[in-house]
Order: sequence, then C-alpha cells, then structure tokens
Amino acid sequence: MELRQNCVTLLLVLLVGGGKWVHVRSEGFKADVPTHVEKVLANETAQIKCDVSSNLTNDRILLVVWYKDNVPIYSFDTRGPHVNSPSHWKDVAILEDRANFKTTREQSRAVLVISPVQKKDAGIFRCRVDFLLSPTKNSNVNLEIVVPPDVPKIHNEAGVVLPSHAGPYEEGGDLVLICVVTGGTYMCVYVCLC
Amino acid sequence: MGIFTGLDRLLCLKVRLTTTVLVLQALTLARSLQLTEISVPEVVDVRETVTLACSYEMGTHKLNSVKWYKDEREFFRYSPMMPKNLMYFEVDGVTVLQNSSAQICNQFLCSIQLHKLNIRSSGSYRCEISGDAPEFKLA
Repeated sequence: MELRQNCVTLLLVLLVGGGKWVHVRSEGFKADVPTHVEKVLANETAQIKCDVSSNLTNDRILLVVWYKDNVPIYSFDTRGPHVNSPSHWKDVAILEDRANFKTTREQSRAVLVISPVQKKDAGIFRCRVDFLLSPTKNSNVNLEIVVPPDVPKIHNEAGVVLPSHAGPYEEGGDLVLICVVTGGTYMCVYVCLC
Repeated sequence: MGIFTGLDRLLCLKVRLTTTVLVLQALTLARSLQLTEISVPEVVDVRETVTLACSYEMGTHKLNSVKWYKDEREFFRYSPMMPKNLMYFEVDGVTVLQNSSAQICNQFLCSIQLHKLNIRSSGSYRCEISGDAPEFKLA
C-alpha cells in the first residue's frame, strides 16, 4: 500500500511520543483578513466602511469596535441596556472630536467618519463586529492620507527665489534653475521654452 | 519499509496545527491585558481528541469574551457577561467536544477540545481575548 510522504513525518512523531506541544509567543497581530485601501486628501472627510451585515434572520449587532494599529480607538455598544441608545466611546487623544460612527437603519452598512482627516490618521484600521447569532466579523482598511504638494518655488544657483523670470544670462553661459516642492510625492518637471 | 507495513490501516491524514499568539502591550496606566500562554499541538493523529488552551491576565480589564478562530473564522466564543456563555459556530474541520468535563473557560484560561479531526482541521488557530467597555482592548 502506498503511503504518502507526510505520513512518514506523522508516524515518526507518534513513535517518538505523541505529538509536541508548542508554546510560542510573537509580538503584534497580523490578520490574514483582506485589507481594503482608502486614500483620502488631508483635511477632507474620510469614510471608513465596516461590514456589519449578517446572513441570519433575527440577528443583530452587539458591538462594533475600531482598532487603529491594534489599539482601540472607537467603540459602539448596543448590548443589553444600550439596545435602543447605543453607547459611543472614542479615544479623544487620537481622534479628538473628529470621528463619528454611523449605521443605516437596517444595520446593513456602517461607516466611521473622520473629518477633517489628518496625516497622523494614516494607518491600518480594523473593524470588529460581534453579533448575537453570527460569528465575529473582522475587516481591515488601510487608510492613506494624501498630502498635496505646495506650490513649487524656483531658485537660481545662488538660492534667490525667482518669482516670474530669471536672468539676464550671457549667451553661451549656463542656466541653472532649481525647483523645490514640499509635500506630495510628485516629481518636479520644468520645461524650457526657448 | 517493514516498520510501516503493520500500520497500513492508520489514517494517513496529517493534521498540522500551527499557533499564532497575540501579545498586546497596553501603554496606559491600567494594568495591561495580556495573553500569557497558548498551547496548541503542532501535529496530531486524527483519531485523537485535541486540547486547545489559552491563558490570560485581565489586569484591570473585565473579561468580555474569549474567542477561538481557525484561519480567521470564529468557531467558539466564551462570553461570561451574556446570558448564553458559550457559542459554537460551524467551521469546516472543527468539531468542538461539547459538554466535555475537560472544557474549562473562566477569568484565567479557556481550554476546549476538538474531536472528529480530518485533513481540513489543519490550519492556524488563534485565541483572542477581549476586555470590556468602553475600550474592548484585545490580546
């Protein structure tokens, strides 16, 4: 009878004495949960969606908790006494007064709204939903904050800012223009019209 | 090959369980919620009953729930504050031995047993502890 390769490994382990107990520690949490990327312009409104839908009838949400980089930042508690008036909690140190969690009446969709969104809000947001009947749903959103670039400043070699024109330069001489931009991830391209 | 012929009838399905441990260090004044130990066997014979156990320290946090996941799908939840403490969810390859005297879940540890193992029982098992309102810190 043919035995598969992995059978050999299993049998060897059993012969040695019954399986090995593993005690492992590792830092951090890496979920193999699909991550959606959301790009928002700085100072605009970020709407981070969370899947709160349930396949089972008579099911309802008990809790929704948002974690940013594994730290809890917002919770929405609808258990027991809070069934009709859910309790919201937010970490003011991180979100200040800029965040609010909204659900539709049927509780099919939900969003965490952050307005105005700032560069420091960038990161991985995890949404945890505990249901009465269904298993817990976890979803990740990678929030990227786009900071648009400033207006470019053009200098000459000496570092003097040139508002509208440069020169005059001698014919046959060198023309050096330096373009400085802060913010964004754009490359500076200058076009010379001669 | 002589050593193996006598074991022809052994079900040669390798069940490999790998562990994932989460340790979350709180940076607040509250004593941190910590997962102190998790034990999940790496290799198991399919005919056996497996015990998965997870120990934790709540610190100043109240225990909201202990959840066991296989490959990111929850199959067991212990919620001491809910009227129904124990919840079981269907996940392929996972059959929790219910009404087992060896099943213990309390404020310090949560130990459950799986039986009727098969090839689909192989995977990554995770224990997640949640503190209660308003933060619901995780470990």
